[in-house]
Amino acid sequence: MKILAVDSSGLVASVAIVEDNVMTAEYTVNYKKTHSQTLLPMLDEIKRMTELDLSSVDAIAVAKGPGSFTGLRIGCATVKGLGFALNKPIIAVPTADALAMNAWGYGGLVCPLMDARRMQVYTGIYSWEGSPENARDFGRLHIIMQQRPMSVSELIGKLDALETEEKVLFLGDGVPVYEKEITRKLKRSCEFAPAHMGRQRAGALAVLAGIYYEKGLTETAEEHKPEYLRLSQAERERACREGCVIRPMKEEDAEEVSRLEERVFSMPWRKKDFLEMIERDNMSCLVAELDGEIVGQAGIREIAGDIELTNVAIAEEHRRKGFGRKLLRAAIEEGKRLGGTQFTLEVRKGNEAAVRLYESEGFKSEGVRKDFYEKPREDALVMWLRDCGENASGKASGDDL
Amino acid sequence: MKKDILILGIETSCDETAAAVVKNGREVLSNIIYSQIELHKVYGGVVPEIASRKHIEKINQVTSRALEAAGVTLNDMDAVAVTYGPGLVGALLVGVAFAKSLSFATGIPLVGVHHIEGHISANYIEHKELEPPFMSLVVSGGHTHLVNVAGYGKYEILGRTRDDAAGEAFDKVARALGLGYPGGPEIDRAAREGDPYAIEFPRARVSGSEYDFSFSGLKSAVLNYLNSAEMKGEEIRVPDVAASFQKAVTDVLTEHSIRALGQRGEKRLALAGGVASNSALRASMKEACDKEGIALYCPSPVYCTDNAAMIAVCGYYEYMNGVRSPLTLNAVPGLKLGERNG
Repeated sequence: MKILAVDSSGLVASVAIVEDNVMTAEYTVNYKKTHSQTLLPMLDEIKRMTELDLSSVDAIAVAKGPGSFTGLRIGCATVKGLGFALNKPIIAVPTADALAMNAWGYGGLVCPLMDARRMQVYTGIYSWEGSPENARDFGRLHIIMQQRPMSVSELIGKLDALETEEKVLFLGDGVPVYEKEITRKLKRSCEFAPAHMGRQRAGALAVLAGIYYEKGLTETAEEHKPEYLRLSQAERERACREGCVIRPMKEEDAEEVSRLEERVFSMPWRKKDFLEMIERDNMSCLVAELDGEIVGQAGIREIAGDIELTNVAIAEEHRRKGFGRKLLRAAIEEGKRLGGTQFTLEVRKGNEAAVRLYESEGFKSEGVRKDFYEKPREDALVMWLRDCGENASGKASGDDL
Repeated sequence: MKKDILILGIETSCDETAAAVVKNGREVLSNIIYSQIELHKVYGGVVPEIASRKHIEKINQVTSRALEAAGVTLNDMDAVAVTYGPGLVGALLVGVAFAKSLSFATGIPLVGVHHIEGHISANYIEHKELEPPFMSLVVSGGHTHLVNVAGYGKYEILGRTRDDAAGEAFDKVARALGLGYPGGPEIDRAAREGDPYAIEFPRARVSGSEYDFSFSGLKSAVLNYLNSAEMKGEEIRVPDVAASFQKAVTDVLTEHSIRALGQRGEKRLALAGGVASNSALRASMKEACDKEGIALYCPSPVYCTDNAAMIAVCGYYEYMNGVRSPLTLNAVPGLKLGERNG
């Protein structure tokens, strides 16, 4: 199996060819020229140097994002052109996963940092405790927290909350930006990767892509597009202005909803679970839709007058816009329609943003379920919103008048 | 028998993702355009980041449809021509990176094309007899140029706008009048019911250069007129404002073009660019050209707005002139007309 890999997600331009267990070429440049000027000449160079017949390549791997929007698009347009001209599949690998691959075998936690500006990083948390037999692992790469944008302080909190004694290795172009803050605030011991593994390398990307290929995780050149994890500024501003539309989930939404669920939760519900929700009379699922895309969902289940909020999810890039609140309020209304008078939910103790949202809507924490969550293991807060049925809410029914 | 030359054109400089196949520089075998205009309407103008994201999603589909519709394959191409400027840098980069990649993977030569030279070249598609030298007036959302086309690939700029492009003035005035985006067609439509002599807007002269244009003064005059009418509580007749504004624009464009043609002794004028399909501009030019015995050329509306056929046509003549772009070809958002920057 021969993989041609391209990474232009950050400051580095990197290309590589990996055939079976041999890396025949890798070319990495971290210089002020734009990727538009460097990437194709670099590919041309390794092709000539290794006398590569492009038609012998089995697949083309690319860092799919997050990263610099323009950088991602240059890499993406390049592999889309290659895939189109050569009729080869594309392997789209999350940028942070590929960065973590640089530190293969590290005996602790691996945390790539890419500067996302505005005090945010694109990051993820990984370890090498995975196993090839586990469907959710990539060889030994185990994903503790999937890549996402978050503030550095939130990331530090997340790392410190993990129940392990392990050290953290940080790498990526966010390191020089946030090294001081991390050293100062992180309670767990940590270290920073040396230069040869500190930035994106297409060789590591190609090796990880090989595992994707064996799992059948490829796409066509036409399908492939970057995963920005963030909207454009104009869209963000518009979403803040106009908000999303909340509506009941339909059967044809189940696929999209289950994909959102997978992106948000470590123990996601499956498509069939959502289809079942539509079938059952005592369950209901609402979705938040923005410009035809499902950006959030909330499920409820009624049991003897109690309404359980089974799962509330908002896509990473659409948080902090009030969508969660809008969805929660609609779910409570829907619960009342099903005859509910009190509401309950479980939430990860460390998910402060969610806990704050629930509290501000009247939920109170009434207990803790120890080690309720896995991946990572964490306690659940059990929250209740009581006495909010039609009669309790202060509205008089017609009979009383 | 002479072999046919096939060029694949790719255009992503603004908000249209387009690909086309052209034979021997004049015969359009396919011309596929995905317009994003609906996506940008809610923002009142093109949002560069959204445009770039959409180009990435559509580029493969548009290209494969162009090849299919022409009944050819990528490997039949003699060159891949791509717009590398001027335009939105992020948008241009998608087409440039994609085209370079096609060239790298197949060994087919790459030819970088100037967007405005493409607009001018659109005239070759439907006017087989048209060959340089001739004069061209390019008017679009981003450009207003009076150009002497001395030969294929040889351009001499006689006049240009000092501030807003004509199309930009249309967009801004349309917004002020509460008409939609893009402003050109909206003003054109509204003006049909209006009196072009109702309001006297200024025809700006630019000192020092007799062929240059300036539209920002006119735009301000329209905005001032609207403000003062509103303050005085006077009724604003949108069709009259639209027609009077449009006349002020077309008068200046026509006058400069005719003067340049006369002074250069040139007898042919080719219109180009999105605003070239404006009906008032066409009518005004036609009248003036008929009076002066000048032949007026203008592409059909589909070749006036951004498209890749014009890029393939322009790319054909560049290719025949021996132009080959290297894999280092970059997007040049401010590329000057006639400049070669590969």
